[in-house]
Amino acid sequence: MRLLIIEDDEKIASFVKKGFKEAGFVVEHASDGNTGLSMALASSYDVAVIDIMLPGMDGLSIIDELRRHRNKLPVIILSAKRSLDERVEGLQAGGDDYLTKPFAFTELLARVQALIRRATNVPEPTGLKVGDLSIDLLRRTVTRAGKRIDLQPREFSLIEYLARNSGRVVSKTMIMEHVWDYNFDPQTNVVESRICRLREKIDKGFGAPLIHTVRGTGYVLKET
Amino acid sequence: MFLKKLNNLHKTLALKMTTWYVGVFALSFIVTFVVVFMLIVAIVNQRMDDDLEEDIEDIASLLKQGGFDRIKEEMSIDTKGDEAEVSFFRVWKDRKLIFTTDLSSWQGLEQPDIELFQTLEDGEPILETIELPERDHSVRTVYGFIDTDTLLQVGETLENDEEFLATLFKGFLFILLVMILLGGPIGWFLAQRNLRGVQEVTKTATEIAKGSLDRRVPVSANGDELDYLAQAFNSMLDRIQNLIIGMREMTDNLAHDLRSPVARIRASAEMALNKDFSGTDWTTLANDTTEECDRLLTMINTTLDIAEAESGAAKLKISQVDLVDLVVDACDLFQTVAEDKQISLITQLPATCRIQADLQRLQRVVANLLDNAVKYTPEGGSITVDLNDDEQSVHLSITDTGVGISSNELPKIFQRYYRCDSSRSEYGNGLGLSLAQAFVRAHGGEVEVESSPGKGSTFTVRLIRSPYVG
Repeated sequence: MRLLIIEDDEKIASFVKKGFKEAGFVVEHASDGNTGLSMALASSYDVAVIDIMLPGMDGLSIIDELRRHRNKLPVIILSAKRSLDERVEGLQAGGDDYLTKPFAFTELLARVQALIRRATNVPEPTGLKVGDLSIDLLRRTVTRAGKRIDLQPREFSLIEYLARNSGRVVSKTMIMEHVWDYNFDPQTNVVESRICRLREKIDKGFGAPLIHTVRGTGYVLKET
Repeated sequence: MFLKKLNNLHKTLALKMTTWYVGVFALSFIVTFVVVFMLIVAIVNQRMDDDLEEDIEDIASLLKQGGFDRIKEEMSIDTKGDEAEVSFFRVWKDRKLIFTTDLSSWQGLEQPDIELFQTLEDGEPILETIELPERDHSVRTVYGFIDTDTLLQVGETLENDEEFLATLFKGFLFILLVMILLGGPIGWFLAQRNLRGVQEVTKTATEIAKGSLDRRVPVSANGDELDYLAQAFNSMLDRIQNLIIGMREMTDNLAHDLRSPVARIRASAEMALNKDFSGTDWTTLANDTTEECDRLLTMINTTLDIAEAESGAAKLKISQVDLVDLVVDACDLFQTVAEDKQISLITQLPATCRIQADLQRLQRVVANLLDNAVKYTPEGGSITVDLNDDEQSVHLSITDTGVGISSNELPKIFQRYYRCDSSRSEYGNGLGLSLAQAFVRAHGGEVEVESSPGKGSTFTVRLIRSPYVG
């Protein structure tokens, strides 16, 4: 996977670059808008992470230019502004995404991966498998080691979301967003409590646990 | 000092008011006088002219009855003795002067010219005002035919009329003078009296500027405009004082709540400088730092959200929202947390309840209220969510069997960063209720609270079905 970062803040750029390299990406970096645009047009990338405020040309103009050249490169915009204007919010409708600074790298990684998955048109699976856990998305049933596990609808959504991102850390905010459609994280740790219940049903009594807590960031579903 | 006062005097409102008062009064008096005087002059002149024309008609009828000798006799009687100075008569026949009364005091009378004769022969009598060299006053005179060939001139002095008008004029001038002389001091006195209230307000404002914010303007019981000013001024001061007290409390709390995470981050980073710092310690440090930073960020963002909602800077994204769905989802969200504490979450909801609102903001309002309810209800308690609606408004109440809020803390719970003594031990940033209130108010609604310590609290969100969007 080839990734282009257009970001003028060297510290953030190197932090993001390092993270993506560790995740197995080939990363190239441009520190101003014009260089970034010519790089994006000159060679083919799978995804681009673009800061909105850039010297030369701003992030949204880069996207406009790319689309004018019929370039469908999926883009994640990084915005330091808290209140997003409609154009930035409209990115999601256009198949792109945005993230506000400061962000957790895991969140950026998850969003980038989701974007690539969407862009490469992987056919919707009918089932998910993580270790000995299998999820039937059509019948909405979960089995582990051949044993049927009864889940409440919300618990099913949660395990489905974790399984779809298996091996990748998902933050509490991402869980709130995708499982409950809430764009904030309540003070009381409702997600933790759900995960706790889920662990009771999925991990308890089975060998190695599948649900892992990553302190300070979120949760990951993976085989150890 | 005195000179300075004198110098400032011409700038004072009292002097301006007095000047205006006297000026406007004098001007209106002068206008009235001019109008009345002109009317009187017109009436006096009209009366004189009517008299003169009547004389012509009387003598004309006498001439018909008694002939020329009869009118001569009549004219002589009219100008007998002192009367000779008051009026005179002249008669022409075929444009030749044939008779005059005693003209000794009427020197300088001119012969009428031919044009006058021609004009007169065509019709109406002619009235004239003439000046005679030996007389101090003007003379009003009329020419008129008393027979086909006989012309009569009657003249009368305007002495009486002019003296009357002059006396009248002097009288008016006198009154005007008295008025200006008396009006000044009276106006000054009235202005001073009225402005005393303003001076009080100024005095108080000056004292407040020096730092004593608890000062208030004394309010008299007059119920006049100045009392309203004083009352408005005082209520403004109350509001400012409350805001300042609130702000002071907020900054105190903010300082504490923002500094604590920073202090923790700093402390753990400092510990990392210690020689004995091992590999797992580094992981803990990184994790702690991330968590503390997230907490700080949440507080900053929430504070900004509240400020935006309160100032009206945040635009609501209004859409059709079914509150029943929203409440069901929110309860679902807190279900497991409640179960963990053996709290029963009871809902009493209608089938549907649609309103125009900002979904995401209302989600946060309901979640924050449920969050508090779960947090402050001890194990085994219950939380009841009740949704009632009528045509205009919707009432959502969340009742818990928690610790409750004491009556002296009740007014403060919606303040930013305020935390009740009993809540200090719980995780939280003291922003939840402020945010809920700010968001509900942005919808044109209100959050109300009832509580009895030890028994529990009820938070009620009142929303109007179609809010104004400011």
